[in-house]
Amino acid sequence: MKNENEFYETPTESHKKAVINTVKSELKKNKDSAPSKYAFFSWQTAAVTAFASLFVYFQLNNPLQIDEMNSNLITELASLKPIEREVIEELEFVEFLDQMSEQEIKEITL
Amino acid sequence: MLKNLKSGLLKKKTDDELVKLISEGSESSFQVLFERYASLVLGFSKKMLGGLDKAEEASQEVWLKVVKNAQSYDSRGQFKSWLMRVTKNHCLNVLRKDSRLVFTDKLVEAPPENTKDAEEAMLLNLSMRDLSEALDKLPDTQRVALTLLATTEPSYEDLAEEMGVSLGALKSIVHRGRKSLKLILETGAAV
Repeated sequence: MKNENEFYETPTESHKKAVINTVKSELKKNKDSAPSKYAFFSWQTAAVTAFASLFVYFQLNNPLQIDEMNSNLITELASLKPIEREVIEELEFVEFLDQMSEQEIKEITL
Repeated sequence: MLKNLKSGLLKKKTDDELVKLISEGSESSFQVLFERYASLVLGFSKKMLGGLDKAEEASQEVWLKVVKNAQSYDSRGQFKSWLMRVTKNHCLNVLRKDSRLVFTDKLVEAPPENTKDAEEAMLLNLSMRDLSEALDKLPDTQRVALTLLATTEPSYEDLAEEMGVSLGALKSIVHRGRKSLKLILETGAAV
């Protein structure tokens, strides 16, 4: 709406075109720098979350540590004399038996 | 048809909403905002700079500034004031660059108060069209001072600072401008 205290000049078509052409490249810059509509998804956040998840997983289930334990056990067993190894294996069997219920023991001994 | 529908929807948006879309690169939004204020920016620039060619040049620069600053524009429903401030500052810069705001009078006297009131009463009775045509015939400094007083209604102190002249000098410029306007309106002659 026109105000009485203002001066107006109707722009020519050529002026309108000139202005639109002048601002076009700047509008493109705005478009390129405008934040994406999917800004809530961030690769950085996703990467940090994935790393944290893997860290926690490996803390709880460390395959390297388990491998190391198994490897130490094999080395130790290998270094034992056959009689010692037999004793250990028997002990392990006794331990295994301890963990079994009476019913299970009955079943395997029958 | 889809284009018309889009344009129709954009026309219903507020200035601030359009600026937001311009900040995201929307050309259609720019066209709607430009249509809304193009004649005001051009008319004010023409009055300040005293010619259509320079006004068109200034208008292009002003609209470029609008797009460039759209992302940092602080939307408070004051787009028109902001736009006019950008236009005014740009025009004043052009005038300064072209050294057209030089006040060379050695003797600066403020007009007597009763004269000032009579001049203001005379200007108030003018239609904007008559005033506009008469203003075009004034020297740059007087035209700029009177245009800014008529449209943006600043305090004399603020206007003096914007134009880079002393308060006394501004009062003298305005006094001379009003006298010249009166002469132009009575005789139709340029000063």
